[in-house]
Amino acid sequence: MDDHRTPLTFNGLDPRTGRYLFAEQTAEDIAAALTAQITGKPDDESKKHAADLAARANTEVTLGPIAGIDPCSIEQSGWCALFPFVEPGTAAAERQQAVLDALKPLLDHRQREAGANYRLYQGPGKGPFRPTDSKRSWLARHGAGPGPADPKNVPYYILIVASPEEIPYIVQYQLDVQYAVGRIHFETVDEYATYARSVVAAETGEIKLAREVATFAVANPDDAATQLSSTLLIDPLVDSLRPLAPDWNFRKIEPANATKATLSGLLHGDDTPAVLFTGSHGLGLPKGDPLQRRHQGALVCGDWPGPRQWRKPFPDDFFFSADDLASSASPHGLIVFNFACYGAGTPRYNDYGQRTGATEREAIADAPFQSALHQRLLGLPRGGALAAIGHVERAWGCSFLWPGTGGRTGSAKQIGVFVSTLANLLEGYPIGAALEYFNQRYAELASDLGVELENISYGQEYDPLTLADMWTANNDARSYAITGDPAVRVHAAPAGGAVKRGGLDPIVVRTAAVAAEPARPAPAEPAPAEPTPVASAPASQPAAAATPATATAPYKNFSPADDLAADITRVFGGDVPVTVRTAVGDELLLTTRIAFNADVDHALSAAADGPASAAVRELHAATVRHAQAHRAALYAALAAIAGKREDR
Amino acid sequence: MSDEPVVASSLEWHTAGDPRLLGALAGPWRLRVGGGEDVFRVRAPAGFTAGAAGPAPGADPGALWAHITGPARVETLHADRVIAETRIDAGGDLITRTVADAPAELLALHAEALAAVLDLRAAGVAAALDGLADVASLAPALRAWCTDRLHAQG
Repeated sequence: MDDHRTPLTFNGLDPRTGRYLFAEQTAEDIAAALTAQITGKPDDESKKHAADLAARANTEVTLGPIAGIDPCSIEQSGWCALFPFVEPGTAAAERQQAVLDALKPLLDHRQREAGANYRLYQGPGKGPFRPTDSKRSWLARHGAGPGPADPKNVPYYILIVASPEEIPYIVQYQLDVQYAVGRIHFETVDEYATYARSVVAAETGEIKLAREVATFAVANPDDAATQLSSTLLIDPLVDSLRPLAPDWNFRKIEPANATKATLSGLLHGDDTPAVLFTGSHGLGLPKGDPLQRRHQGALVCGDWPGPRQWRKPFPDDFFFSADDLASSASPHGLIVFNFACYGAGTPRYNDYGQRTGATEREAIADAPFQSALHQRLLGLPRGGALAAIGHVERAWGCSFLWPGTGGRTGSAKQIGVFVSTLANLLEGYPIGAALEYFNQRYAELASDLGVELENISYGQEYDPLTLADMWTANNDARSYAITGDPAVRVHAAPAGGAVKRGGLDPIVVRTAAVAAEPARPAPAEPAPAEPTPVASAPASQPAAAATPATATAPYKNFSPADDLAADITRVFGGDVPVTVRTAVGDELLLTTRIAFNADVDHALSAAADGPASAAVRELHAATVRHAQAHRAALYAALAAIAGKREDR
Repeated sequence: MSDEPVVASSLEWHTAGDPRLLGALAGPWRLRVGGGEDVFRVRAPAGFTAGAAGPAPGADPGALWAHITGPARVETLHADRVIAETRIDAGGDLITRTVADAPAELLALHAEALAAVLDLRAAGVAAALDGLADVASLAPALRAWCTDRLHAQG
């Protein structure tokens, strides 16, 4: 059964249409486009990088820190935080200082661990990454050329604290070849603070998780991509890991149970494992769609009945997005690996333009951005995930299937990088070091491609099918990225030892959003699948403090002091969004979810046969306005009654 | 809530609620007793301006609260045909269905009628709360309402 002749399946679904993001392409289609482009001009930076890797492939055995350095030792390997350059005295500098302050507990913690090999690349000097920098120029400024990480120059562990617009994904990929790199970028200072606290708490003994790995294998009916990832990636992955990690429990969520409700339970805290691996489609939306930042990379669950049975816009019930994680969730300590399109983020430009013979880069987003689900998972106020691994751009079947290995022309599973990465993670490696297998695979593919392109440029005959596979696999392989600190690791109880977990008290810094780019709408707050008790707010932090800074005036004075008031705050404070839907006949055309903080999430679901008419859109917009006003009126009345209770 | 006048030939509020409880809130809506959930029916086209609903003196605040926050439906009809219908569920979610050939003017009328109904419901909540002699008496109903809404999203 390993022999597959369709290795170019990939994971991605457009929720507006309920169909695949892109039409199926055969290897022949791609090869034809690629052949046309080879005589053109491939991206210069990619070419240089491929040539660089090709040259080093013959001289370097391993990637990572220099000889004699233990990658598991932060003290030996070193750790740094890399910020983008901002002009002193500007609003951007003020924002960056607020982020720095919020991260201080984490920075102090890493400084204690790394000692002399700690660096903070921030401020007005040569340290930060400048807009004109490349990976090479930034490293060179710090005394590092190509080659293994020497912590005396630049530490092995690099935490990028920047949006992918400020420090591009390509720089992250390139640094990641020799260094262990992760990235955090949140919309609010609060999330930086809560993430820092989550990491420090986990690393100072506040949690000891059960030694459990859960796998969540979606296999939608009639859908080749998820059928393959379920049977040829996740099933054999678990089989391979069991003997390598005998003191770990493996909980397989089979396709029949891989529903949104199950995933919600896995991510909300009570049922959260130490490590979660998911395989599914990821949602993809076109550039300019108001929901792109919020829902791109959301995980499509087993609730989707597949492409034959469902040919219309997706309801929210089919996928799990950042909107589905309640503030009360506490998957503290979790490390998650999402194999899905856009699972970690979205670049500005299509990474697979070669497949269509495009001569100019096609913008697929207004700006590059991280997955909102990963951001939400890490920034949860009661203790979030420590790190998430995912894919930037579309994920391809060639990540785990390789042409020619399954017979004369077929493909067989190739899951060594997945097995090795997870085995090292369970062994206690920091996540950045554990992921080096993926980076080595990327380096190998890049060097192979570089050599092939060089030979072709000298007139060598080539097989376009093989070349198409190599190019796609190269860009696919480089795009596995860590959201979070690359030095975090699994914090599991010793085998047979006591388990310690539990949500942290919510903390609120009470600062405004810090996003440098245009702010995306704040997520509407859902309740967890199984409602959990509301945490008691410390006396010094009334529950109302959790109200987003954008709350309208009447809401700000509501300081509930008892359970009823806390419930009211939950209802209006975001845990229960209001949904407005408009349909023509039986066809749902427009959906809008309204959160309490007055941010409105317009989910425009285009009809299969055309957009909604202007009159229907106007009716929908008016209904949204009226629903918001109604909600505000209800809250004002309830706030008044809560005030009466306080006055007693 | 709505600045523009709603134009309709008749406004009917079909309800199983106590007319003595709802009468003071009804404004231009003609109360018609009967049925299950509240249905607000708008018949086009004639003149109408949405009026502000007043308080409900002497009403049982708990009963008023329970009724006014329950599910409801707003219908806009033309020649006895439902052109647009909005269902308001207990959680506050709204779903509107229109016919494919609905004229833009009637959809605008429906939006205004919906605004008036939501105004009325908000006024009912305010009236229920204002009428409380003992704030604590509403706590059970309020707590049940919060619990329903929190659980409904699960």
